[in-house]
Amino acid sequence: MRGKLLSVICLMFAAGCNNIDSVEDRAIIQISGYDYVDEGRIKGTVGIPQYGEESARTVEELNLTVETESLKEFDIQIQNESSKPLSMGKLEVNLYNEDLASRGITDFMDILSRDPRIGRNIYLGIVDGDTQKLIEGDYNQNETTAKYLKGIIENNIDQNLPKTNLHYFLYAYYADGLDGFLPYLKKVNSHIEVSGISIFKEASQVTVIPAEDTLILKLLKEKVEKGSQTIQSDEGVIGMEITDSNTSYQVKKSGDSPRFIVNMTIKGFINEMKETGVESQRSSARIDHLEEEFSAYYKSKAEEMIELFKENETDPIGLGSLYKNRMRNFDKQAWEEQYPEVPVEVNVDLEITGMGISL
Amino acid sequence: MWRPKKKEQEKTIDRFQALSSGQTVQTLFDRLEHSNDFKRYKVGASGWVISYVSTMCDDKIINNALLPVLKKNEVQSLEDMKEKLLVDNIRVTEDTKKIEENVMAGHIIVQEKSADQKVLCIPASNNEGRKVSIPEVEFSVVGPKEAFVESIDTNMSLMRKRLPISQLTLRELKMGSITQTRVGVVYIDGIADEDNIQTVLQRLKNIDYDQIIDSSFISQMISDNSTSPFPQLLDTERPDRVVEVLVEGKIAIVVDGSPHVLTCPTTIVEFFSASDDYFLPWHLATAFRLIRLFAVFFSVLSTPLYVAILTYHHEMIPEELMSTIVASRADIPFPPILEVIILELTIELLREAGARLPTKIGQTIGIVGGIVIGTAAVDAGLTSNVLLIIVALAALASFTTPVYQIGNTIRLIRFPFLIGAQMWGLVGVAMVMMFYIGHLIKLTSIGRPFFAPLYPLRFLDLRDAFIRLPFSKQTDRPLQNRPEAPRRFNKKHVSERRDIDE
Repeated sequence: MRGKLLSVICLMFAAGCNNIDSVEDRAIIQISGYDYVDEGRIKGTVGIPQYGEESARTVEELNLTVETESLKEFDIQIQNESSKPLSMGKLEVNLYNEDLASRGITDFMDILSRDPRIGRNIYLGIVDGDTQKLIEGDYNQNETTAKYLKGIIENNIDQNLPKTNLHYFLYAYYADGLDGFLPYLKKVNSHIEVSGISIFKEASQVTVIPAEDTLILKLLKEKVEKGSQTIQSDEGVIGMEITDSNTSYQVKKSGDSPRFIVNMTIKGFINEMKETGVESQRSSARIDHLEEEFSAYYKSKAEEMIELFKENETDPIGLGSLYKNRMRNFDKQAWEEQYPEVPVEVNVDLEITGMGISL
Repeated sequence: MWRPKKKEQEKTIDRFQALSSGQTVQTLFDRLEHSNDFKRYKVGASGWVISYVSTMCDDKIINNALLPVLKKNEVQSLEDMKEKLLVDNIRVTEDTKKIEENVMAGHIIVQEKSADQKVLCIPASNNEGRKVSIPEVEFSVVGPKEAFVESIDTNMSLMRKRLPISQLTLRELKMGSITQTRVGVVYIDGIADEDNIQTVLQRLKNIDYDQIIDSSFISQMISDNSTSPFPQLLDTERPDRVVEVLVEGKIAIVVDGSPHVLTCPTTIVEFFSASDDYFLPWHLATAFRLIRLFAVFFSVLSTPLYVAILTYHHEMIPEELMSTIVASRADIPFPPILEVIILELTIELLREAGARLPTKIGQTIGIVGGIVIGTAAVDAGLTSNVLLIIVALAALASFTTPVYQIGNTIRLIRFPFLIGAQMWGLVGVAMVMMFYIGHLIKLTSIGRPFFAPLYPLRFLDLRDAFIRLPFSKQTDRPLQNRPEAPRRFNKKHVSERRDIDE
């Protein structure tokens, strides 16, 4: 009994040696971004919210920037500039400059995947231009850049942007036959926009998909329940809202070379039709025509996109991982050689469920 | 250090004991005459000597029944008088011990000669006490409005009224070497487990203490683990509640002078069930029970979690709450733990003051005072707004427990949690929680597991634990009590369709 009591007391005193700072005594980093300076030098910027008086309800953001040779040094140097111990626990957004991304972000992925304090649901992004300028920008009085940027990415994921966060990216990064992608962000005057998707091979950016084609990648990757696309048809510019979609993949193997069949079913309605002289009456023949036209559009776009991936030897859709799952004796080396030449057939089954209430 | 030798200690008999041993009626009355309320005088021509304690006796019996008989010289002997007096339960005795007991309980003693050992005891005690009133500690909106009082006889009649069966048994004991308190063990013969009855009786007989003022004395003395903060006997002031558990096969302990009756064996979940639960429809009662259970967890864990999260795990704070918490904490000079302890102690202070204030109005003033002190503390920058809300809610939640005793436990057990939270964060909270659960699993009430429907898992008892199923599903008495008649009613009667009557 006495021994037990003694050990509890010892534990109590040992715990007292721990240096504790409660939440208000820490600098909580919400956003961090890295820029490429030159060979072997990076510039890192962090954004720390400064919570003001309760009545004021305004949040200002403190930005610290340092230029260092390595990431480890960055941690040390940034502490030098801060009056409170820095804490990475509430990191929301992590950005990389395009130059840095095309040279590879392996080191950063290593840090992010190792630190247990960093959540798996944080957002990563690639910045077209200078990350520091984007973080330091003044966008909204009541919001920090981190919150603003997080809102933009979250809102776009509900729309045309495929699901993305650290978890998805790391999964793709470590998986065989699957490559990651990240939102491609750009500062335009006083706001930020998602201007595309940057496609990775391993940890380096290889190409960028423009904003208008992001929905195609989303259709290929996941079920779309809300997405809109404007399509240039021979009747004019038509806006289509997708309400439901499903994409299934089939692998057919003849001899040594696999063949992929992508079956896409899309449901949606027309919500915008710019008149170009053609009568806009509803008729089943006309709907059939539009369905055909749109099917062809999605088919060609998807094929184009897959072709682009093949050219860059990257595989964000995960054909390789699918092949690995379905086939015994997957040979990674052989697959990588086959991949640029592998035939992929896209079938689109599109249904227009409505054309709006007006005539 | 000098210690008296054990042998010497045993030999010494103190003056108190010496007085009551080896006495005769004469010495007893001589000693009693030191008290001014003891009356002893000769009556009538034949010189009967009557002795009684005037403060304990009813004048009516002396004046209307005894004195006329004595003064008219109608009787010749004590036996004769026993026949003629119109008073119940008269006894002739020579036993000094019994005579002492009787005279102290308000009997009138009649002797032929003042030196006679043989006496007549006429019961004449004036049973004055509080009237049966409405329950104040365990108030309920619906249901019976009777509460126990201080008299054991009244309390027994309250129970017998509700259980008019011959199987309802009362075993009475005298306890407390000085107070000589009447303690009754009540159970229904044929339902209550014989082992349980014997355990209770044995434990009561083993008590050697000079005073038993209240049932809580007994509760502390016979509990299985007296170092535990959890009460192992349930005390209630509601006769309906006692009757309910007697029918389930439990045992009640009634103590003269205490308006609270103890019931055992009990389990932890019984402390969170109110008598209201049985007066409401079962689904509503279930919902309220679950709310009460949540309130208990909230009350115990909210401030420790506040300390743990603010000190160690600020990653867990949602972004939307971050600015509120940080802004309200910004001006506070203390770390979260000190802030919490200050506020918790303030609340405890208010409660303690509220309990000592004479009326219920005092309590209201206490709460209002608490709010004033709270806002002032926030304005002065001693505590944060967020914490004030949490502490106030936790205090409110702890008032939802239907049994007062467990409320006290809940008040106190949060402090170890706070220490754990400060030292090791959530790990510390988990450690303290494990300690308590381990303790509860080990705990027994009259030899029966205290953590019962959960550990050991008694699946059938769960239908009246965290949830209360309808009466039609309560076919058996709780297994926990090991009832000798386990069936409440025949299940078939419930499921029979009586559509022919419609």
